[in-house]
Order: sequence, then structure tokens, then C-alpha cells
Amino acid sequence: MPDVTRLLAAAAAGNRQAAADLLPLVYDELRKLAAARMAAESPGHTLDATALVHEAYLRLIGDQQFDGRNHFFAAAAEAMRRILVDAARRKTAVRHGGERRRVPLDEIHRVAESPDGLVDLDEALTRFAAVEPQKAKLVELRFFAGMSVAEAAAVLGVSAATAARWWEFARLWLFAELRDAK
Amino acid sequence: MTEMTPAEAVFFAAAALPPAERPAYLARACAGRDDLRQVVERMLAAQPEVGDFLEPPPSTPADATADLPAPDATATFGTAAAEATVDRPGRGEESGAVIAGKYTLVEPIGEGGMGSVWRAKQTEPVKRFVAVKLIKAGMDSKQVLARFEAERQALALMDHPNIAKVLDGGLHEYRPYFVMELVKGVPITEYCDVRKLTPRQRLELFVPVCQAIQHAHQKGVIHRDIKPSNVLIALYDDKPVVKVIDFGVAKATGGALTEHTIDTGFGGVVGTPQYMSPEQATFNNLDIDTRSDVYALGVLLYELLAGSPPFSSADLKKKGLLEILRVVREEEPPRPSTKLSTADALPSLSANRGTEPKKLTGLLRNELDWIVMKALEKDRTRRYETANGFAADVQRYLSGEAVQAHPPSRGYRLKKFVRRNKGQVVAASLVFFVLLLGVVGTTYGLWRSDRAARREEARAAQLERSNGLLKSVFKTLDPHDADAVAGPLRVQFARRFREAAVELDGDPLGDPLAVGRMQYLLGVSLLGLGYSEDAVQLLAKARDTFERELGADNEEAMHAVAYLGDAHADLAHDAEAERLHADVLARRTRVLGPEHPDTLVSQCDYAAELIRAHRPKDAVPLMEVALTRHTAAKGRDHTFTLLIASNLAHTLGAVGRREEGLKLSAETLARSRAALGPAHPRTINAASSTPRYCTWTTRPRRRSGCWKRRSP
Repeated sequence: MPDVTRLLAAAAAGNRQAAADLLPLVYDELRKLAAARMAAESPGHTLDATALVHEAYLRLIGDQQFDGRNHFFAAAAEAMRRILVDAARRKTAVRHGGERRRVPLDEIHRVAESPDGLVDLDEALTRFAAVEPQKAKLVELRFFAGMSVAEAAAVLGVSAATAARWWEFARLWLFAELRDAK
Repeated sequence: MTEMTPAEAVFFAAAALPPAERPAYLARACAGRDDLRQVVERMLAAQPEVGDFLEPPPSTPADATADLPAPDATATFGTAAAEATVDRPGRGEESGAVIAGKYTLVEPIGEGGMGSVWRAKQTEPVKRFVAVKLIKAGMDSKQVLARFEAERQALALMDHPNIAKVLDGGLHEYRPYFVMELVKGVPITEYCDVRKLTPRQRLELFVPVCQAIQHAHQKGVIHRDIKPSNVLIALYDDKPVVKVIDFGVAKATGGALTEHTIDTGFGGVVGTPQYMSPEQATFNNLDIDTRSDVYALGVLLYELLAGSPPFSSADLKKKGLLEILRVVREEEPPRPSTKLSTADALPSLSANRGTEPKKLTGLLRNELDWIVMKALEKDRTRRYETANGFAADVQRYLSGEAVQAHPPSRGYRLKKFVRRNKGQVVAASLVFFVLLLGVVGTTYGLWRSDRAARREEARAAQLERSNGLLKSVFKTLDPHDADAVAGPLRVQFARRFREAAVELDGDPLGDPLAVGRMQYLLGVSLLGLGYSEDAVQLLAKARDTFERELGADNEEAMHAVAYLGDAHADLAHDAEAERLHADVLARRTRVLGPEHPDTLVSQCDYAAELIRAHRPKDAVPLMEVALTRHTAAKGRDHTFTLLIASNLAHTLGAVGRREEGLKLSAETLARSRAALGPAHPRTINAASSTPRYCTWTTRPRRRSGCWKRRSP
């Protein structure tokens, strides 16, 4: 996997194309991992996104560390979001014959635990990204790549305090959005 | 600080307010932005229910990120530490528990933000008591561990008799701990109060605190949480020794430690509000340096001297987080001497300092005030550069040398003063302007009247003398003294005006008319400041001069009479006031004509005197005529027209023409609002003059209440 390492190094050096090329590689690896995991798990079990991302990191890069790892996580978060939401869409399509069920009010807190909830969240997050792109990215990093506030802050290039504030804002925005959609 | 989006800024500002105040704030902040308002309102409504929405569940290995190769080496605690979060709270934390095989916990002696501190018995290699700090279980392990690691490294770097030593550290059952020198001490403030140390003794004790902090700074460590409970005094051989403890939020400047100490979760505000420097009081307090500690040292010295920190916890407790931060960032603290002199507890504070109350405040004033205030500058470039610099100035004070700190420069002070006292400054500037006009008017008058050959020369000499007099009024009139030394600016001005008036009696200008004009202006100014008796003296002299030099029908003479009437009215010399106003009304009617605005002013003044003399029925027709004429001359929305109208409305109520009064009052109020805005004094006056709400008094007060006269 020297490709990924090289791309990460280039991305860290400021090469935008390298950052863009990274996504498909990370996505592929994550998708393979996720497929294997899903096949092994009982139906209804939700994927542990965090574990997957870290596994992908170890597989693609090994346990070396370097400046480019932020780019990896940014890409991984986006890839993981696609994988999880795609999987959720397939499940809901099978289950409801295409008619998606809205997550009831009392289940919002556990939105990530059901395919319907995940799709709802994904859509809300897309709407959020339209008004607050940076904060939406933070949610992606936190939620789909399991990063801590401080780590996500480093990826986004803001202070941890700013990221913490953004996180608080994003949680409330999304919660209100999902609740009011009922 | 990363710039906030509008929604973010409005949301956090609104969230910091009590719920009752939010709608008003939102209406203001989102005027014309309904979409914004909707978003924020929705979020505020969601706040109570959001709970841990989207938060990673604490029990799942969300923090397995700690397994990842970390960007900086935190290998000391490494991967094993990640499991520390799942540790059950309080495990291994009880008396008798043995940490790392050699420290037996004896009793808890403190509870910090990230752990507890125990007195413990060390058994090997030597037997002694130590302080063991255990990281609290159940906290975000990464954050705490990083901080803990920072603390350990920071402490290991330091070796100073006034800093508690770190002896050991490591992991115990996945929980980090470290071992410190056990300081048997009490907080410095407590020590000083119990021993009733004098300010001088307190200062002597304060110097080594600065030196300890300086040592840390030289090792690249910022304490960031200096406060009395972290500055202990221990007795060694009966001698008090300062021990600074708990570099718990310490941050090494420029080292790898930086990143680990900033994240305290939402808000990211580290520190204790009362001791927090302005630059720490932000949501993004990355930008902290050694001068933040200098600030906190300043707060400490402040408290040692004045008995409480500049912003007391009682004051701050009432406020929300955002408000607290704003106060710390923006509000100018009172000087220690001011704080002390206004403290209810002054007697006990003085007793604790072994000093008489009066002597104590006097002692703090000037140098000590300056020293403390220099450390507390909002702008850190104006603070002491270093803790040593601070200590050196304290030592200079102790040895009687001139201190480096000084009252801020005139321009700087003026700026700050204007910021604090907009209203007063405007008033003072007006007085100044009036006086300046006086000089110009005087010289102009001189130039015109002096037909002698020595005209030029005389003019120059008089101008110089007028200016000299003017200067004497403003000389060393220090706006900064206003709140600390000589009482309100109003009082200072009055004193200077009086002095100038005495000076004028000696006829320094050489021209009676010039003297009269100065007296007139000083009289009007003193009247405006509320010193009516002085005003009567000056205005009477000015009137006499004008009448003698220029004739009774001269406009200046009539102005002087009118103001003299006002001054007498203020002193409740009713008969004299009525006589003077009747006199000037007659003169103005004859000289200027019945419709001249000045005549109308006099007519209203006279009407006011009639009302005071319990003759409101006689006053009403005068006011009605004045209203009609003034409306014709200046329009319905002129401020004086509105004033006549609201006074008339009020008087109509008093003579039994209530309905008319109400109608006129409502109309006037509406006009005032439209023409002047709802907050204009005239509008407020109009509102309060509504007969319904205003009970009639036969002696309308002069300067407040329902009846308002034109201002001088």
C-alpha cells in the first residue's frame, strides 16, 4: 500500500489532487472491510465505524505516524459516511419496499442505531452542510470516523475550543432539524 | 479566534442569557433576519432535550482512537491508559489503598478538576508523608492523560524552593498518579489575614511568589491557575515559606505539551474566573503567555491588599459564563484603594492588616494602586513584562524608590475616561466650549469697542489674561481623579469656577465688560452644575455690569436677568424669581416683540413662577399663547414647542381642564416620539406629564419630575 502513504505525504505537503485521489483508495479499503464485517455479524448489528476506520488505517499505512494522517481521517470519514448510509438505504429499501419509515421522536437519540435513522441523519447533515460546511465536516469526522473533538479540530485546522463549540452547535442544529421533521 | 457564523454568534449569545431575556435579544439581533431567528429559536428549544445526541457512548471504545499512533509521543501512558476511562469511578481510591506498592493513602486533602489529592505515607526507600494526586476515573482519558502528562513533565523541569517538588509518577491499575512534596501550608490570603500582616509584610511575602513563577516561566512553564489556594505558605523553622502548587493546567510554551492542555471540552475555558486574564477569557484561549500569569499575580496582590479580587466571585456568580468572560475581558476593575474604601467590611479588612481604615486606603493609593493596576492591564503589552519585573517594582516600593508603574499617560487615560463616562465628558466639553466662546466673544467685543490707539496691545494683553484664567480652570483637572480622589467632575469644575470667579473680582482683564462676560459664563455654568448660590452672585454682578455698560434693554443684560431669575427660582426665592422673570418678559416684549422666541421663553418662565405662586389659572393663558406663537415661529416638532405643550397639558389637568390636558398630552407624546425618538428626555418628560399619571403639586420641582423648564 505504498500508494496511500505517498498520497498522504503529498496531501500533507499541500497537493490538493493527492487529497482527492485518496478518497477512492480509502473508500475501497473501507468498503471491503465493512462488507466482510457485515457478513460476519448478525443482521441488525450496526457497524462500529471507528473500529473500521482504524483498521483501515493500520492496513493501508501500518503503525507509522506522520503529518498526513489528518488527510486520511478526513477521507475516511467521508468514505465511511457513504458506506454506512448506502448500506442503510439498501436495508430500508428491502424492508419497507422503498417506503422509508421516519424515525419516531423518541428514537432520535438513538438515530444511529437504525438504518432509517442513519438515512435521516445523513439527509439532515447534507442540509446542515449547505449552511455550515465546516461544522458539518466536524460531525462527519466525529460521527463517522469516531474522532475526538481534539483530533477533529486538528484535521479541520481549528482550535479544540472552537471545535468543541462547533460540536455543541452542530448537535443542537441536527437534533432540532430531525425533531422538527416529524 | 475562528470567526463565528451569524447563527453561531447569535445562538451562543442567546443561550448565555436567562430564558426571559432571550426573545428581546433575538428580536434585536435578528431584526430583518427571520430565517436566522427561526434557526436559533429552534435550537434553543431543542437544548433541554438534546442530551447526549450523537455523542459517542462512554462505554464503547470510542476512545480507541488512543490506540492510534498519536501525533505526539504520549507513550508514557500509551495504549493501556485508554482503558483507564472504563475504569470504575473511585477504584483504588480509599484510605489504606496502596499505590504503586509504596504509597499508602491516608486521607484526602483536595479535589481538583481532574483528580483528587491524598496525603499518603511513603514506605520506601524512605518513610515520609507525600501528596499523591490521582486522576479522577471516568473522565475523557485522552484529555486528562495529556494534561496529566503535561503536568508531570512541567513539574519535572522545575526546581525551586518556592515550588512544590514532584517526586514520582506513573500508572496504578491503569490510572495515572503522581507524587508531590507534601506542603503543610495554608493559602497565602488566609495566612496573611490570620496573622494580621500589614500591607508591607504582605508585599514582602508576595515577592517570592513572583520569583517562583518567574522560575517556571524560565523553564517554559506557565502556571495558568494562580490563585490563593495554589499559593501556600508553609512554616519551616517558624519562617513562612511560599510554596506554589498545582501546575495542573500548566502548559509549556512552544513544547509538545501545547496541544494537550487546551481542550477542556465545550467552552475550552481553563482557569478560575476571578483570576483569569482577559486573554484567557475567550473560547479560544490558545494565545496565552507568561503575561497571563503576571495578570493572575496582579489579582493575587490585589486580593492580598484589598481583601477581595477585583471581580469577586459573588459578583460573577450572578452572571452567565459569557457574561463573566465579557467582564474579565472588558470591564475596568476598580483600583485596590477604591475597592477597599467602598468595601462594607473595611473595618475588619483593616484590622486584618493591622492598620487603621483611613491609613490603609491612603497607603494603597498612588504607587500601590499603580503597581497592581499595571499588572491588571487588559492589554498585556502594558503589563509587567515578567514576573520578576513585577517583583522588582514591589521591591522598589518597599525600599522607598520610585516605582516603574505610573498612572497611565494623559492621552491614554483620557481615552479610557471618555469610554467610561461619555455623558459627563460631553457635559464637561460643553462647559469648556462655552468658556472658549466666552474668550472669543470677549476678545471680539474688545476689538470692537476699543477705539484707542493701544487697541492691539490691549487686546493681546487681555486675551492672554482671559486665557490664563481659562487655563486656571482646566489646569490639572485630571479626569482620572474623578472617581478616586477629588470627587465627581462636577464638583471639581464647580471649585475651579469659583476660584476663577474670585480671580475675576480682582479685575485681571482690565475691562469691566470682559469681566462681566466671564462672570456671566461662569454663572451659567455653575447654575447648570447645580450651584445656584454661586450662580446668583455671579449673574447679579454680570447683570449689573451689562446694564451699566450696555443698557437695560441690551440682549446680554436680559439674558443675565433671565438666568438670575432661574437661579433664584432654584433657591426657592419665589418672589424674587417672579419679579425677575416678569421684568425680563416686559423688557423682551418691548425690545424684541411679543413673538420673538426669547420672549416666549420668558413668558413660559413667568408662567412657571405663577404656578408656583398657586396661580395656575393665570399661567394657562400665557402658556396657551406661547404655544401658539412658538408653533408658528418654530413648528410643532421643535423641542421647545413640545416642552411648552407638555407643561401646558400638565397644567390644564391642574385647573380642571382634564380632558383637554389628556388630549394635548397624548398628542405631544406622539409628536415627541415621532420627532425625537422614544428615548429622548423630552419624550420621557412628555410621557410623565400625562395628567393621569402625574399628581399635581403646587410646587413643581425644578429639575426633575413633571415640570420641566428649558435648560440653560
